[in-house]
Amino acid sequence: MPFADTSPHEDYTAAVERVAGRALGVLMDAEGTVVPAGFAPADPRLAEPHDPDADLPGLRVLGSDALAPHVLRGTPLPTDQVEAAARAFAVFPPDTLGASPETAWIITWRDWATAHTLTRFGLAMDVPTPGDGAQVADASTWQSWSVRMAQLSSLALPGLDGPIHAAARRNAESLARGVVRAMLRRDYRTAARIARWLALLAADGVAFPLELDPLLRHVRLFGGGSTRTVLDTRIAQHVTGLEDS
Amino acid sequence: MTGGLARGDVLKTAHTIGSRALRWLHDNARFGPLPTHTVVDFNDQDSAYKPLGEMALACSLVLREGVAGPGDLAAARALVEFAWGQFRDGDFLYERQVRHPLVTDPLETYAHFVRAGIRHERMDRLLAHLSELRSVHAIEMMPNRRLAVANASRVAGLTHRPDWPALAADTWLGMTPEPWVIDWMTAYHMTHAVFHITDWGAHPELLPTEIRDYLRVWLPVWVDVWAEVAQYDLVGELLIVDACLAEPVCDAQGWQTLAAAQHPSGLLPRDADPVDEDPERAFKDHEHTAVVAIVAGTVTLARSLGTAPAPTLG
Repeated sequence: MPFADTSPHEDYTAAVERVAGRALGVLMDAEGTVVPAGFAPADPRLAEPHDPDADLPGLRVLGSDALAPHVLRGTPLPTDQVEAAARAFAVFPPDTLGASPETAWIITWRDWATAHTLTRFGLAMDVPTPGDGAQVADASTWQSWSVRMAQLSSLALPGLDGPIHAAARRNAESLARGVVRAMLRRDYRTAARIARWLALLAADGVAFPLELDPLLRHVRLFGGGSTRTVLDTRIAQHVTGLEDS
Repeated sequence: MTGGLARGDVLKTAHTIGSRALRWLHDNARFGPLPTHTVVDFNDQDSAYKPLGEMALACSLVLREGVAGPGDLAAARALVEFAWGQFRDGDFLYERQVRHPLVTDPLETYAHFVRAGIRHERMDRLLAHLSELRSVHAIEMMPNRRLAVANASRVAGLTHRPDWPALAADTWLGMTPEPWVIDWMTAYHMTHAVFHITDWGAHPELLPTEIRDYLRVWLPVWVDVWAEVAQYDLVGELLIVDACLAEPVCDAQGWQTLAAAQHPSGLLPRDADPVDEDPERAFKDHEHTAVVAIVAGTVTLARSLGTAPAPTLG
């Protein structure tokens, strides 16, 4: 659908949702799985001709989240998508993403996750080396700590490991408290992202006193319809191997 | 400890908040008497009857724990006697129980005075009789209310022995439910289940292990979210729950929120709404929060000092 009067921010948000929707379609396109209406993989015959670079902001923002369905389902990433991911990096280098000096380290870690994931699909990328994760080493203030971990949720993918993951494993209870706090504040976006970490911990056999399945379902029903949020809940569900619901 | 406060500072804050709330309640109690011609079967329980009972509850705990200074102990004693006087030295409660054998509020109110060392002989005989009746124990009520009656019976020294684990298991808390689906009213019910099981923090060891473990993880989250939206009354109730645990789990943040909200007069607003300029209206609006603050400060300090309350287990 053409947008006559959209702001750059709206175009950007639309691109994120569009790319998230496509990733969700890949993730849900399993045999015997019902694909939610609106989330089916796009039929190329029906696709409108559009600027091939229109999705780049979405690819750049979602980073490894856009690739996660291929990782989780073990399907190859089409060459044109590998190239698009690389182009997104070139068009939007880290210093264009609006990070402050306090949050630049988060971008560095997310780019690390994207680059690391892309190497699985044959693309070597040169990204800055992230630090030692000192920013998440202390989880005693679990409120702000869990929000930082939410911002790092695209790292919560099987196959990625490092000091951020080690901090998550050490602080399952802080993640659990953080997700409950986000749920009660109706910040479902943050809740879904923290749930990504809990899903990874569950897959690793780390115990925490929370059932993820009803929580993820609740986010989908109450979360306000963001495709990106739904994608996070579905990735989390896939990572834990929970039955679809 | 987050917020830079050591446990000792938390206790100091808790004590100060409770003590100031007690003084405010004492200074304003003249606004809370029962109307002169109150009859035993009135309907408007919340106007003065219930608040007087709650005042007696808070003061009975100050007296039970004995960790307050001489001035606060005297104020608490004076308020208990004021409330008892309002109830015509217990005759009001007795007559209401005679008129309505199946209502539980006379027993529940009376128990606070018993805790403070006050007895009413005819009431004792009446309650002993009623507690022998199956009908009385079969009254249909919410699970946390059933715990309230069980605790009042225990404090009043009645011989009936309820099945505490079964009563606790029936509550919202007993289900150890999803902690992210709780609303304001359910949170109040949850707190009261804890209060009654432990007799307001006298017996943390009576809290079932599953409930204790559950609260250890989730109570700090609830304090955080309700402090953020300035629900001071509920935050106070949640901090009482913390004091009812064998080992408190909440940091200084909740207490700091209450300390910042308390007025110089000792009034602690129930929420972020403006406080009415009319002192009588302000008393009515915020007396419950004063009760909460007194109980929270008292029980927190007492459990931290490791003092044992007077035995109340029947």
